[in-house]
Parts: sequence; C-alpha cells; structure tokens
Amino acid sequence: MTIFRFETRRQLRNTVTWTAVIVVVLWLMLYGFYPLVVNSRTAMEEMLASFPPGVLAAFGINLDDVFAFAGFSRMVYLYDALLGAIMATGTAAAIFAREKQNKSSDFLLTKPLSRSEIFVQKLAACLTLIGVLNIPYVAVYTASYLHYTGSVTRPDLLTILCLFLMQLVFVSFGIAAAVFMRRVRSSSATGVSIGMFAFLLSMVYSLSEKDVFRFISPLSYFNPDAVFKTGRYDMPSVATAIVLMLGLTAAAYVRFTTADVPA
Amino acid sequence: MNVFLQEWKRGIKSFVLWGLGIAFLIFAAMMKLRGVVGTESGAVTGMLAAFPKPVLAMLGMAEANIETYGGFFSVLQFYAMVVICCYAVYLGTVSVLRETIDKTYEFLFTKPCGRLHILSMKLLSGFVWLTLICLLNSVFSYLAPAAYAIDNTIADTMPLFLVAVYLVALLLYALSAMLAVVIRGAERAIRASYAVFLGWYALSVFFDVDTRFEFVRPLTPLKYFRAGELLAGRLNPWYAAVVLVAVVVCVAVACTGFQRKDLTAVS
Repeated sequence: MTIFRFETRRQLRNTVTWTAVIVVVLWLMLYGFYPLVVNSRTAMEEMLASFPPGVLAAFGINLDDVFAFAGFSRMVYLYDALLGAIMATGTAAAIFAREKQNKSSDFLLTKPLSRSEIFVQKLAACLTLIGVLNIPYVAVYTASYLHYTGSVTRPDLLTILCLFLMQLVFVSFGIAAAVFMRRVRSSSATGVSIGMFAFLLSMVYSLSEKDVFRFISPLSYFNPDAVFKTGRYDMPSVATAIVLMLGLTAAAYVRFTTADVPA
Repeated sequence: MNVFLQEWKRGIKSFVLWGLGIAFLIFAAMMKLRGVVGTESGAVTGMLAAFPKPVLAMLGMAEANIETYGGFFSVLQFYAMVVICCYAVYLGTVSVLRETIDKTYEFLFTKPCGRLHILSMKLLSGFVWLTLICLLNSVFSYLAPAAYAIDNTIADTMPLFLVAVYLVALLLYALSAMLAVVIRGAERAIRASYAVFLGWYALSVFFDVDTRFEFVRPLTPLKYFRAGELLAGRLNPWYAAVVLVAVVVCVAVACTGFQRKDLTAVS
C-alpha cells in the first residue's frame, strides 16, 4: 500500500487541477454556451424561412439535431476528451516513469516487494486518480441532463461515461510509453505529445470522413457521435480499444517484471 | 559549431515522428476532396453567412465555410498549427533543459565556450528544426492537392497560411524557451509551457463561440491570423509585428537569464 499511497499523494494536486479545468470547461459549455445556441434558434428559423424548403435537408442539417441537448453534448466531448487524454497519459507516465526520471529504479526494486506488486499498486494509483476526476465530471454532466431534458436515459449515460472509458485506454498508452521508452525526459511532455497525436488522428478521422480511420483514432473509440446516432457504442471500435488496452498493459507488465534494470 | 551539430543530430528522431504526423494529417484529410473541382456554391455560402455564430461554431465553421476548398484548407492549417505548436514547445524547452534533465550539464557547461554560446547554438538548432517542419508543412500543402487532382482555388493565398503557422509556432518556441529559463525546476517549466499553449487553445475555442468573445483575440495567438482575413489575402500586419517583437524579447530574456541560472543537479 505504501507505493499506492505515495503515488496518489504525489499526483493528487495535479489531478485536482486537471479536474477543475475539465469540469469548468464542461460547466461553461453546458451552462454558458448551450443557452446561447438555444437562444439563436428563433433568429435562425426566421432567417431560414426565406430559403426554399429542402435546402437544409440537402446539406444534412437537421434543426432538431443541432439544437437538441444530446446533439450539443457531442461537441462538448471533443474538447474535454483532449484534456482528459492528456491528463490520463501524463498521470500514468508520471507514475510509471518516476524511477526512470530520477534514476532511482534500484532503490525501489530492492525493497522487499515483488515487481508485480509494485506494478499493481502503481496501476491502482492511476485508476484511482482517473476515478477522482470522473466523479465530479459525471455528477455535473448528469445534473445538466436532468436540468435540460428532465431524465437520464441509457444513451445519455453512455455519453457521460465516454470520458472515463477513453481515459482508461490512455492510461495504458501512458504506462506503455513510460515502461518501454529508454528514457523519459518529462512526463508532462509525454502526456501532451500522445494526447495531441491522438487529437490529430481524430481530426484526420473527422475531416476525411473515412470510416476505416476510426480504428486509429483512440479519442473516438468511445464516441458520443455513435451513441447519438445508434444509441450505443460502435462495437468494432470498442473491441479495438479493449484489445489495445489489455495488450499494452500486459506487455508493460511483462516488461516491468522481467526487464534488466541498468545500474 | 560542435554544440550545434550535436544538438541538431539529437533532434532527428522527434522531427521524423512529428513530420510523419503532419504528412498523415494533410494527406489523409485531403483524400476526402480527391477529384473535387472547386465548387463555390454562392447559395450555400450566403446561407451559412447568415447563421448565428454559436451555431456555426457547433458545426465547426466559425471562420470559413468548410465545404469550400479554402475553408477546408484553413481548418486543416489550424490543426497543423496546433500540432506544430506542440512540437515548438518541445523544441523550446528541450533546448534549455536537455542537459539538466539528462543530468549531463557538468559535462557540457565545463567546456571552454561560454554559456551564451551553448544556449544560442541550442536555440539555433531548435530554430532550424522548427523552420524545417514548417517547410515540410508547406511542401505537403502544395503536393497534396496536386496529387489528388483537387482544383486548388486558393493557390495565391496559401503562402499566407503557411507564414501564419510559422509565426505563431516561432512565438511559442521563444516563449517556452524563456519559461524554461525563468522557471525553476525542469518539470514545472515544461508543465507551464504546455499550460500556456493549452490556454491559448481553450481561448481560441471561446473566441469561436460567440461574437461577444472576440475581445480575447489579443490573448490567443492561435487566432492572431484569422482564416477569414487570410483568405481575403491579408496577413494582419499589427499582429505580425507584435509576434516578431515578442520573439525578440523572449529570446533576449532567455539569453540574459540563462547566464545567471543556477544549473542545479536536482530538478
């Protein structure tokens, strides 16, 4: 338990800051921005009255989709997902690369604890910190659904949980990066680079509109878009996510427990 | 010169990675437009112009109509800018902090060539890498439409986008080098630099949301050069001047601060 306690304490301040940022972004989007969108509906409908009917449909714009809360909350995810991914990767990298950064692996590994225990405690610390972030996030998000739509249906719940599930995938990325990289210069740089790369890939996916690219876009494995359209997650993407997550974590575990640690 | 070469060689791997990222972004995104002949449907553009800004922001078209080639390219370049900025932060912080983080500073800074010389060579090497990635971005931006037979309707305003990306990245590069010098503790300095960048990004999102938030523009360099203005063939000269002055100031502060910096072994 000592390692678990040490790592959670070390990362707690960082996590609280991230939680504040992510929840504030969510809050501003849901309570600041959404009313603006709704208010502009009348102006827009008046303006659209001057266009021949069918123009909107031809461009695939459905007014009810644009102004519905569920439709709006898809967009919120795009921004919070980037932040959440950076936080999850950075935290995992910080926890798993700490000894590498400080060049103190020998001090930790000579303690009377098996390497697999160390790995499990560090992993537990990562998951706990992700949990800490998600409690207020889920609470605020759920409250907003109750506020705007009066109920939380199953698809809504899936949308709300997207961030948490996506973060689990990025935790495995962070762990793999920290364990397999020969040298970790900075855990925050690792987190931002991986998060930004994933953001770039998700932009490729959304700009190109090619379905194949969804497999290389980890930010869209748990995609509110899919939930909005079909009521559930896109199963092939979820399968990819699970394979990646378990595969990377298992590989990191094997490496961590068997690697020869240079003095 | 040795410092420069050494530092430059160490940057190859990350350059290749980020370069591949940019290539992938541009080519994969442009694939969508393959064979599309520049159709500027006046009706659609007119209709979109009348949309309220919050709605446009939701559709991802706050600045320009994404259905036209110009609009698509401006969105693409905004993301290229985000990616290159991320690389710029890496370059800026690593130029200053590499030896501290690797705990090798006593090997380098005891050489008879002076701190200022070492830092300027390292900054120069980062500058060269940053310039190269912007050139790569430019080359890809011209190659991709040619390769996919896209009617390049904005060939003459395209250089403006590329220059805008370069300027903003340069600013962030200098700023993060300065922060790395000024802030004590390597990890803290790196975190602060990325925080500045993410802050810019967040503000640019708010900028897009509603016309009432346009006052945040001076605070977010990502919006100094707006897609609308660039498409009209205008690179805002005031903001360009501000960026260049800020770069000079940041580099000057970094150089003077570095000569007095305590290069502690404990970061």
